[in-house]
Amino acid sequence: MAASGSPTPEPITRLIEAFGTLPGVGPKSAQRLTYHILRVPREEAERLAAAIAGARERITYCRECYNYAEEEICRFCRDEDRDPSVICVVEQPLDILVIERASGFRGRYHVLHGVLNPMEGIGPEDIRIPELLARVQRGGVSEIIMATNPRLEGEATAMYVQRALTDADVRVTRLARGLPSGTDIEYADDITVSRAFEGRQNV
Amino acid sequence: MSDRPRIYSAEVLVLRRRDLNEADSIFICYGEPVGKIDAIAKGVRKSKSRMRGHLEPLSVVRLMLARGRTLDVITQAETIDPHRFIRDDLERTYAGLYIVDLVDSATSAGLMHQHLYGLVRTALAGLDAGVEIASALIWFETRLLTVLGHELQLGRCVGCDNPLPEEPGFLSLKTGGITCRNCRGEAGAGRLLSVRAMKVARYARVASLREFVRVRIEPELADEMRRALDEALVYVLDREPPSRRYLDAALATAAKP
Repeated sequence: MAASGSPTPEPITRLIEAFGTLPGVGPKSAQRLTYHILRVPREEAERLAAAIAGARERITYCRECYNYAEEEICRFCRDEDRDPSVICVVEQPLDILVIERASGFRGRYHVLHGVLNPMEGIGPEDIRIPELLARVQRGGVSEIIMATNPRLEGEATAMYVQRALTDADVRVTRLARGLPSGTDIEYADDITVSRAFEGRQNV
Repeated sequence: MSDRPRIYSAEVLVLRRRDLNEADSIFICYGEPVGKIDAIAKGVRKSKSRMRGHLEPLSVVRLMLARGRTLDVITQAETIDPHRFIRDDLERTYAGLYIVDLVDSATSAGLMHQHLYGLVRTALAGLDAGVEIASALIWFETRLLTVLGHELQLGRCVGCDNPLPEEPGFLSLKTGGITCRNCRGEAGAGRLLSVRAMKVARYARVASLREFVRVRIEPELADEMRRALDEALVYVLDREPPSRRYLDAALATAAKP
């Protein structure tokens, strides 16, 4: 070990620190990722760096729904086969991928980029709620489907939007909540069971 | 934490959740006798997790925990009270979160305030049962000051120690009570408190929540008391709970005709 200075070259230290800023990546994972990058062929490392830079440079927010997009208007908002009068509101762009994969939804989307969280100081003006309300105000919307997560914050966000649109001529609905498939009633919590009862359907 | 057995059970109120990675979350909870604890629930974010719906802020749950090196690990969770009615109402959700925010601000990891858990349980149960929100919060905030050891002296002037006359007094947070008009300057007192506000505050300290919410508190009086209590709590906690302004906005919107 050197008498003075770090035992690790400075570029390696910087890369470890950079990886360590990623969510869920602790010091050990950051080290593993760094040494992996140093081991793989140079082209692979350069491809990763280019992909990161390219994503940041080329991706922007859709002007209409605030999904990630390469152009001003994303492909969902451009798609004329999709019903513009029905808007599905989600917390994150990733939720759109899940809904697209799993359901036959053929309306448009609106991405909030978060949820109301009073304890963290996140209010309506900190997420894309004003933009959603403005979108409804412009007209042509008949239904808002609140697809926020069935957690306390997601429920509060859904209630807030419903309350804000009380006087608007628009239906505000919520995705059904209940027992996820593959689970046992034995381990379900009270709220899940009671919502499942509320949402029961004919067999 | 080092006094606890390797595996232990605790009844707690879930205060907050922090997502750690794509599978795990950390939960900040408060209960007696464990006090405030941070514990990790591994795999709770996965759809098949048995603990998922049980670990929500505002829920009272019974946990089984295993003592860990840095964080204790939640191995089981079962809901005791989800406070369903609070969750189904926007203003009550904000009020419940404000109460939780105060508890979070007032407590430190590993420590317990005697009577705080019972106080919070009562306040949340009251909100869940449909009691008037402003009254419930006045009751809770008044009692919270007492539990935290900062009960305001409401009977005698904190300047001259004479019984307070039947006239408005001045709130002195530095000396922990109310001053008469003569002692206002010396005690550095500020906010004026009406006679009725002081009476209602005294009653909040001795009445149960059920008794207290039967008292008719006009909106102006509620506003006056809220401002005084907020000032006192910010002084004691040395921070303003972020949730307060969203609660105020929600209550103001609900009050509009």
